[in-house]
Amino acid sequence: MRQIQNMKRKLLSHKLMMISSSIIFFMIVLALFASFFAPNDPNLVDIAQKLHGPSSQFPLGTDHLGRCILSRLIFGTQTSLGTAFLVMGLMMMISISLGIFAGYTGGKVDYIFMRICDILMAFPSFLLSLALVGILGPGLVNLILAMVLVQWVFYARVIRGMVLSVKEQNFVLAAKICGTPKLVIIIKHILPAIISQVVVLIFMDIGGIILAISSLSFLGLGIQPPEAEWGMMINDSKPFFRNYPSLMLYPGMIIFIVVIAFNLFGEALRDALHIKKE
Amino acid sequence: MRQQPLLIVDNLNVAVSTPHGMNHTVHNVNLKLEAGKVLGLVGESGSGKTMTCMSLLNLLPEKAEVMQGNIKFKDIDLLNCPTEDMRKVRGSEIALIMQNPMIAFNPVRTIERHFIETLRTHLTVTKRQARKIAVDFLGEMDLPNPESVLKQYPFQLSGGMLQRVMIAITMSLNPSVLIADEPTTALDATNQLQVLKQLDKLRKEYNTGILLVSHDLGVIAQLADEVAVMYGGYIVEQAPVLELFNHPKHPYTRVLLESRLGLTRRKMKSEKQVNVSRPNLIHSENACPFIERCGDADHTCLSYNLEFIEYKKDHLVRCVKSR
Amino acid sequence: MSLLELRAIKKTYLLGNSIFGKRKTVEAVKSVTLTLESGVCLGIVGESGSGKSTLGKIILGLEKPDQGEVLFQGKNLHSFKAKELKELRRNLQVVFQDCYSAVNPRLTIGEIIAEPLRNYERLTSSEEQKQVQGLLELVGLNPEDMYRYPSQFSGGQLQRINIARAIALKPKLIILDEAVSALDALVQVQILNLLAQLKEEFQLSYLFISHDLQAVNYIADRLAVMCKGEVVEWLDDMGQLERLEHPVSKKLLSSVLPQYPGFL
Repeated sequence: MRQIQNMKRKLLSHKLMMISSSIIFFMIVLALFASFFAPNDPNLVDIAQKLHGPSSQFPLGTDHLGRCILSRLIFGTQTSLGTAFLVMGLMMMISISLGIFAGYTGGKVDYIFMRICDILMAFPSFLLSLALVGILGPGLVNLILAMVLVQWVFYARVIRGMVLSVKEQNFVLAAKICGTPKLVIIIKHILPAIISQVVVLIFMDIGGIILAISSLSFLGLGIQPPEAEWGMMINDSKPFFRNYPSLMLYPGMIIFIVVIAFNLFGEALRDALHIKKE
Repeated sequence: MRQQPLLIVDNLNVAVSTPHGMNHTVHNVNLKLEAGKVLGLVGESGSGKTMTCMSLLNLLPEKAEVMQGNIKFKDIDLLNCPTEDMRKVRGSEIALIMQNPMIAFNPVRTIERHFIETLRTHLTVTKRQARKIAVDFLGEMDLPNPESVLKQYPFQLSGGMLQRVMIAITMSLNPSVLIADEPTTALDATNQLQVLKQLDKLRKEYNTGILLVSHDLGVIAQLADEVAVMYGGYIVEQAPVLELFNHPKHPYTRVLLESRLGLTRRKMKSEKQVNVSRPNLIHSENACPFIERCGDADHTCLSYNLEFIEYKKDHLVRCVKSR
Repeated sequence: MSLLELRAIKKTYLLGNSIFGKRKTVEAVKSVTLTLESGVCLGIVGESGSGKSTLGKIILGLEKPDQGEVLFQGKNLHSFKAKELKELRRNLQVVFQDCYSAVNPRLTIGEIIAEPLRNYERLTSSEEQKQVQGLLELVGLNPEDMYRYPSQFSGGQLQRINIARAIALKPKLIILDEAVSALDALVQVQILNLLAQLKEEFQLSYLFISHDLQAVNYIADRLAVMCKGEVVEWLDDMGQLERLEHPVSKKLLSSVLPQYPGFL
């Protein structure tokens, strides 16, 4: 009985893995070859064509400036995913190096690091990013900066925790005793031991980052027009919501699907790695 | 006159599914446990002794399965009884003590809560009554200051103390059979002795039948009435304890006996090196499992059907050479 | 000059993290003085919590003592710069109790054993391979095993691998921290025999830390009994265990199980 249940669970997670990873894959392809997939120029304004319904030329219709919604969604993938990956990548570079440094060195360094984390984490992170963008001024670069500067703390702390638990394992002590230099211990023993957990963490959280980027853009603080971006598309469609709800629905749906796909993929990945551990 | 055995294991076979197919880890095991007696099960890690114990309680890991055999406790068929019945038998009739007492306890609960919860799951008693039973049993098991032990958290007690508390909790339900799987392996010598004394008391005063599993013949020697030696999933020799120590017949038993340390023995009189290769449990059907490590194995061991040979009354050996 | 000399070593741990009031302290080791001559196996025996493992960590330089000095080959181990320490460390190795966690599960046996060699000697990869295979044979394993992973080995075999790594640099002193306690009885004897044989072959010294008087008796030349952070009794001739007088020693002695039925 238990075996059957277990099988079911595994199959289900396998299915989720398949679905979510194919969505993610599809989105990445879409982003990479946006100009190939998009039927029209996303930024081509044609007031004469504004707020049209679906047609053969505009499969999802046009917005208030007569721009092709489908094309804007496809190019939006490029900006949203691209920015999210960039933010994640920068953040990981900072947090992996600082987390490992603090966790492995321990003592006073670790203490100071933890207090800095405490201070930064005392503020709600989204508000802090908001404030930072407010100070730096809106724009893509400032948005990335604001998110990275605020959120690295969280990951660095988690990674530090992972390092602490690996550091006490006997094989690290044994490596120390047989004279392995610090850097080699970190690269050869500690990093491989935590990397799978870090990858899971990245996938579990990238959905949140996409959401945060869209939210900031929705508030007009992130990516600037005429660049296509999902959050901004929602913002643009606000005045027409009553008569043309589809304008808001499409970008909303796509944000929803992408975020869910990344979350499910992260979870499935975690399960898969966990099973492997056992 | 011999009494009726409490627990009868008849021709038990357990297999674990691996990527390479079914791996048989327990072969044709027959055991009988009587009230007030201790049956010792000796073997190295991987010999199938833990699998045997776990199948007695229907607690085999997911990938393992009983392929064949019967396990009877009193009149209940343990392998084919409803889950509900099995739950009642577990704990209150057949209890289990494991090697590492630390993981059996929840670190954020006091000993008292563990004790009372266990008692109240199996018996209809009030909290006050349960507490009294707890204090009584801790005292009974010669633990100093039962009252203060109850107030403590698991991490505040040493491994040895915790194991003794575990036994006290287990025994408060008055089970008729106790399965002790390496109960002293994780403990230091002083605590080991205490735990063994405690087990001895159970057998004498509560008439509990104990299945004592260990890799250490020294532990087995002190308690067991009868000993079964396991190797590669087979019981290779089974005899009353004195008989086994005085007339070991199976080569593996002899190796075990020769390797006892004790205090009289000092190192190095050019030890006969026992081959260290691990037994490969999947290979050849008919060969003796000990063949790779046996000093005097020859072609007769290759096509050996592994039947028990009765060397003497009650002394069974699975070795062609012992004839 | 003794190989290892401990002078009044003291180590106290702080318990808990309380902001208010005085933190509780535990004296893991209080004032231990001992010397270990070259080529000798000193057994340190005591109950769990007697401070013997902390002592091992201090000697290995993994913990700093609060007071006292550790002199290894006449030099103070804890007042050294990283580079000099590295040279000193070469002669000081360890085998832990938990053989499973002492090897990195992601590396092959060959990489594990080669680790100390890579740190101290510049070898070509064929030289390295030859050395690793030699070490594997020395500890009774198959040279082919260097391409396999730790999960494919039993506890006893892993402990042999740990021993191979420890002797790779031909050190002067190996700390054996409960090195056989987690193994099956039969495997314990095999490992003890291997250790004794290696000691003869390479003139090693051991510090054999254990709670098991039987194992200590089997391999050690001298004995120190520890209790509550102190050495309470010394025995210079292991053949005369019955001469032990301290109540702690007596207790340890009496809890050794006789190896023949009918004691309890």
